[in-house]
Amino acid sequence: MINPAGVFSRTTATIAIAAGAFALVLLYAPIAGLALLSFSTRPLSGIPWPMTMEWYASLFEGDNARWVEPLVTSVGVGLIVSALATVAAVVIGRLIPLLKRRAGLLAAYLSVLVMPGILVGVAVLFFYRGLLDIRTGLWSVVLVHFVWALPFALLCILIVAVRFDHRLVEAARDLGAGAFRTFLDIELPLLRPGIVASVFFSFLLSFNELPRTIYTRGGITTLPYYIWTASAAHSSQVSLIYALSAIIMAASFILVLIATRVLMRNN
Amino acid sequence: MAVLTTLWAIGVLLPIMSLVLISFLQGRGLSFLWTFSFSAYASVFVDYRIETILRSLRVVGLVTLIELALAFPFALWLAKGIREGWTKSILLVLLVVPFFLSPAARTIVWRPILGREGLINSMLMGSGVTDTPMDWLLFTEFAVHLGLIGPYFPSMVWPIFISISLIDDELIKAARDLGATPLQALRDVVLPLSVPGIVAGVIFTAIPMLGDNVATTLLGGGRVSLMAETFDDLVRAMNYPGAAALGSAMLGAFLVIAIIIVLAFARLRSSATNPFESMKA
Repeated sequence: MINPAGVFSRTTATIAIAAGAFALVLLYAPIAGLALLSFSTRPLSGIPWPMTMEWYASLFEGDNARWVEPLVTSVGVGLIVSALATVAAVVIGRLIPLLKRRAGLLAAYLSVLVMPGILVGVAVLFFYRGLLDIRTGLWSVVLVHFVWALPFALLCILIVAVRFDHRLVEAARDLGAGAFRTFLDIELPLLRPGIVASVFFSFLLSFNELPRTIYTRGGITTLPYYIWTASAAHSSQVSLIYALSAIIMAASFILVLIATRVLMRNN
Repeated sequence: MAVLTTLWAIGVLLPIMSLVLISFLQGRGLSFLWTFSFSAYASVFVDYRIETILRSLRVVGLVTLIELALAFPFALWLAKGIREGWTKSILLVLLVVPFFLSPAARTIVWRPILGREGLINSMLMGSGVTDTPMDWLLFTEFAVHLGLIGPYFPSMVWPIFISISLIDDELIKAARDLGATPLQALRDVVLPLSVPGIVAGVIFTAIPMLGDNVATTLLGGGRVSLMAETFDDLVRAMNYPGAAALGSAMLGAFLVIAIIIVLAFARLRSSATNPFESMKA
């Protein structure tokens, strides 16, 4: 039966599928296109053939290898942000389901999710650099990435935490376990799928972040910023950017698949 | 947790709110003169910037409508038209993945596809359909629209999908058993109950899109500048109070929308939550 709830006829189902397919093609065609064109001899022509490995091979040659330093920076920032956001999300997320009045708290943390990235970036720049006169740099990049990642990390933890049976914690307490012991032996294992997903997602959000970084980077160059400046300029580097982006995209894709699997296995 | 929340409020929410304060100051370099003035607003809302702001609203409004038109039927089908299984899981994963991919990397490819010497033009000219390349494909509003539809589709689908998933199948079946056509069941049962999802979807799509700088820069090519570029211009021109004023305007719009939603929810909750309740009369 194609129609469990009875809202669809064959025609309306086709229309709905067509609408989704259209949008998904617009979403994934550029991703597939990027992968294809990264093998093209002339990526800028939009024609994938004749194929070549030239761009991938030359990624490490001399001046072309300038992306390595931004990559190291981005991985470093990503790891810091991932750790900070996940710890914060666990601290907040495990308590939120227990609170009676949680709407305000949730709104305070999740509202930044819908704020345009540049707005957050500009706000952090003006407040810290302008009003408080603190130089921007690594810390401000970490801060804006943290702001971007925390709501997602929190959602990952909450998905698991709301299904959490709190009598288990009370039972552990009754049996004489201390607060830390209970957290370590009862809560942590139960929250683990959410924590793993949060670690992956926070890292990826930070790793691929651009609009907030532009304003707060100080002297820091992250990989997305490097790719952004290289691709917005019509430089000869663009062919290399395709290969580099394709590699990053593939790696991100795999990490997301792992994280969603972990998160879904629990449900 | 109290410590964290305090830090969050002071370190993150306060800076965002401080945009409003800064917008009333006068700037000198990166420091501010503590004199109250409206000059920042005057400098932002001058003719050519007004034009950009109106264009942003028009583009974002149109793309959001397109997203809604595409996402609602698809979300409905995902929630109520297909059984749990591999197809559904794969589609849902496909809707998660894009959140975590670099937006610049997946937008840049439109350029060789749409460009003057790009794929579409060389195909059309090669097959003899036209002999002059089409110029309106790239660096136009068309390109910006096209580039925005894909990336913002998941933000629209997810809230609608979740809100429709939460509707009990029995409600729909009951309506059908009582003689409603599928369309009537959709209009009288599903649609009213999915309003929160639609509202959330519109917010999650439209507001981040207002600040999008990737599609407009890479596909607008400077000819279709939107709000993000105005920000850029203001910051580059060191008109920081001006940028803050623009930000405050966005923040204000955001708050107004949030209040409307809260009020709408309050009304929804006070009126019948069950659609059959209102049918009794």
